[in-house]
Amino acid sequence: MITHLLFKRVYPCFLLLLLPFASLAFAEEEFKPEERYKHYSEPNITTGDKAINFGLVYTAQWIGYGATQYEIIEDHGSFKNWRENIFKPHFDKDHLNYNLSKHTLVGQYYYLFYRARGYGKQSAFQWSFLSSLAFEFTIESLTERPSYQDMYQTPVLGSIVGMGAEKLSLYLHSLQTTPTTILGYLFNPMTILPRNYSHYRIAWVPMRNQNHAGLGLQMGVAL
Amino acid sequence: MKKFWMTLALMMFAAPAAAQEVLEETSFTAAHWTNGLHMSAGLGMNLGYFDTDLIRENLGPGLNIQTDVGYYFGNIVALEVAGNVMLTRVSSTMIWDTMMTFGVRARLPDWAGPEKSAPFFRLLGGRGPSVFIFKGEKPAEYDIGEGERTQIEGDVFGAAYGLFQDGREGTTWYLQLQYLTHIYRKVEVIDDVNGVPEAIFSRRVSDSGAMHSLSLTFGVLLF
Repeated sequence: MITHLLFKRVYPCFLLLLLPFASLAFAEEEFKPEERYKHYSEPNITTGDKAINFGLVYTAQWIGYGATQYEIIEDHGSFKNWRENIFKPHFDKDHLNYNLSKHTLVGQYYYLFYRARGYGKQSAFQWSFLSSLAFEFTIESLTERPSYQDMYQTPVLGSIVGMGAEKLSLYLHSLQTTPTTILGYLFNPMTILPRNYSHYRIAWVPMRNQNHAGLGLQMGVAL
Repeated sequence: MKKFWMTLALMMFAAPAAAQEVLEETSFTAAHWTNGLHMSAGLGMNLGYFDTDLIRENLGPGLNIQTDVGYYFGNIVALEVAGNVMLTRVSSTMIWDTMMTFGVRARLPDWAGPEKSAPFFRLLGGRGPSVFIFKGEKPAEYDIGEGERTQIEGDVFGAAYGLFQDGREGTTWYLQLQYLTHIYRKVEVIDDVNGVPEAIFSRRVSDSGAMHSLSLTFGVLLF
């Protein structure tokens, strides 16, 4: 409930309040170039890393869809839909809030994730587009037909908002104070992720005790 | 609607931020269109005329959100997918028009535009829905059923004239005047049932009803 309220009311209001500060991020005279934080794009991301990154987003999509659409999946989901809907894309009938707001915000996180993993703007957009297609055709098709609006608007509008969020987040991080660093993480939560070109490494480790089995997240530093 | 306005505000801040770094990944300028994938986005205003059996009415001015993703080649032409979202309020009704089009953008000779600009011409064709979202009592002329909103889907055709111009720090901006006609084919009355939009009434449109719109958009190349 706390999470729900946070995301529905507090977090959006918080972001809105901060918007005026966004203009500061674009004021070139505020910073000498060498003092500005910049996104670092990795020129050579391996095919294996690309597959892992896409897989991570895909897994998150399944988890997110299952968690937020549980009742709709129960009421309308079926494997028959899953098989047949993929051949019947259409213009959906969703409300403005879904098509223009929620999908844009989700698309923003696709974009920011790929950027955080070292992708350039173009390739982050291209992979966001692929992730969006994967969601429409292999996940959401469980309950509904793929939507032309979502296929286009999720990665396109999401990337546009993502570009702004990334810039603002870098500016806030570059101020190097605790409050602005926290804000930097809020505007671009993906900056908290270890980069695939950094010396930090994460791994999922199977764990088990007497009663439970699960996966543990292990973090380490390459020496 | 609050979520939508927040998303829109984020986009408005995002575009100039992203534009500052266009040259990091491409060397696209108004004079030299580089081969490859490019994305642009803009905001503007539109005027419309709604011409159907039920309503004949001037619309606007309203807000126009234009996004284009295109593959440019030969420094002269681009094949594009574009999304044009128009939002117009008429008394207590919000008209939300989404037009998704395929099109071609061709460079015009320099004399067809102002100095230091690269004029272009576009032809577009596609499809999309117009959604009428009612607040309070429905106006009699829009009332064709008891649903929460009415969605009219149809074919889209249009043309645009515009110009690219270079700004500071490698940014490329555009101004575009676009005419679109949205020829309606199918009307559906939508109700949200347990969070899922369902058409409770549907019929073909046989009177060649259409919405004609003229939009002026100011935007920027994002990559």
